[in-house]
Amino acid sequence: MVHFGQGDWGIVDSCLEPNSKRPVALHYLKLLQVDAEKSVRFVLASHWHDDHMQGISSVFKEAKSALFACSQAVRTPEFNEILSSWTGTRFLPGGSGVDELHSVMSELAKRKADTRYPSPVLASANKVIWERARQPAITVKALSPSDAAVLATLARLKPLCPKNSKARRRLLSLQPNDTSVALALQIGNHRVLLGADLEARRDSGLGWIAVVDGFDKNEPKHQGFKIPHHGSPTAHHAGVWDHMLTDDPWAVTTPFVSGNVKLPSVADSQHILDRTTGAYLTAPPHPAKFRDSNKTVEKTAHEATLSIHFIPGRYGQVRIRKDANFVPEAPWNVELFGDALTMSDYVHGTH
Amino acid sequence: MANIPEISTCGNQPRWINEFQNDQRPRGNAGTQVMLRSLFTLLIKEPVRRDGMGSEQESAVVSTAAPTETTDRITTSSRPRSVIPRAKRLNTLPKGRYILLKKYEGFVTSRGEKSFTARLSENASDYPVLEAEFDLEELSETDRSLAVDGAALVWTMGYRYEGNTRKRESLIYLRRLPPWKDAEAELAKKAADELTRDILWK
Repeated sequence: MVHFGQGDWGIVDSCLEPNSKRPVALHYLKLLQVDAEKSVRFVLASHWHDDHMQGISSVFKEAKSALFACSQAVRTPEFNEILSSWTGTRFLPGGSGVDELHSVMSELAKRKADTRYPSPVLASANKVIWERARQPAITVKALSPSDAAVLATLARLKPLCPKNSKARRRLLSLQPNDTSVALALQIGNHRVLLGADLEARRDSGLGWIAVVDGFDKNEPKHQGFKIPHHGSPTAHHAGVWDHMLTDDPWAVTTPFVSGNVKLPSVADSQHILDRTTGAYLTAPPHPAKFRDSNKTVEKTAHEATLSIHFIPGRYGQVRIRKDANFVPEAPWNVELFGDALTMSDYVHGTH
Repeated sequence: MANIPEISTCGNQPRWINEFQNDQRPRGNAGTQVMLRSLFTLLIKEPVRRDGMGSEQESAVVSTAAPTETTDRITTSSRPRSVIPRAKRLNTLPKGRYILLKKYEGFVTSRGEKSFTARLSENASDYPVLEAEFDLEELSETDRSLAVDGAALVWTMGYRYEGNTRKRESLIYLRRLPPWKDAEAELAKKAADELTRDILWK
């Protein structure tokens, strides 16, 4: 979530607050007594993986004055076919954020006849998603996906479309994630880079290489970085740190746990700490222990499995703020809530 | 003689039995309703005399007190005699009875050489969700080849009765869903076109 000041908010992706099971963004705005209907200017779905899409349709439905933005890949016939095929099936929920995106599309279809609602925006490299003219001026610009990335994704979507006699399975996440929407925020003299889940590819037309190549090296650098893809090495590109970020920027990421994959690993975190001392995690990548009110169920489950746990296991929040009127060199104020921690504490096991 | 506490009666049966028989409201689960009706029919048909001497259809008074030596005695014919409705003994349970303790549904997220990982939940709205890694040997030989990414999965835990013994069991199986049909793909295309046709993207 980004608060631009003067009552303007932007929401990028969504996850659920574990206690209320409501979208975190709506939960937070309610705590601050901010009216989502009037204050949220845009809701952006950076990509359609489950862990980034949970509850985004609820956020968009409440944010009635917000525009919706997502990757331009959603305009392709292949994606639309997938969207419809995997929605509303009882035994086979769509997954990969497809159900949520379908719900957003239904809301957009409802709003299309009413001119009070802003038009949705298809994000692509160097396209401005939202801007504010009054001071401090704001520009929210997409840095990806490139045209080549959209074409590459289409090639991967095509085989997923339902065909006669093809086995019916749940739609899993597309990997690698080339159509993820990375954002550059400019608020007055302050700049922040939000990396979404964009990965680093060998092809110069895709991923972070395309973003770094398209970045004007004479432009001011970003003072903060939402580290892409949960700090995974597949999303690390030295050029981002060298050319797009200031020295010792703040950097923050979220954890990811699935099977044996736990991101960021301690080694990944150490690499990030080599680049900046101000690195934070919203929670450590630990699953929650499996428990059940029926002890017989608990015992049977442990006997029948090699491992069992709840995901996500931990939950926290990192809040990084600065007065927009301060000079760019002024320090940012960092606050940690819940299970949030510094990456240094995570690496040294002191959390 | 001790004063026997009584619950109100109606005709030949306690009122609660009559009320149950007359209650035609839907109860949500037809199976449960049939089972309850069978149980109560059993109770009505098989009232037991307080001394356990057999059926007693004329009785109108049901004691709620614990049976004692005094109250167990059959009363004189001028006073309605006490009966306690009792279920039949459980040794007539059908073979293969199963008590479900938990049922999870989900899908396979990854498969290795000897194990696979699945994401599971009791209800679609559950959050956080369960993630479990199973040995492939937990699946039947015929199911192992079906455990691929995205395959729908069911996991139940419960007690199975065989005669008078019961055993605790965990059962994992993969759903054999019907394959896609061309007609569905066509419908999906049409639905997608209708949904997104007029959205004015910038």
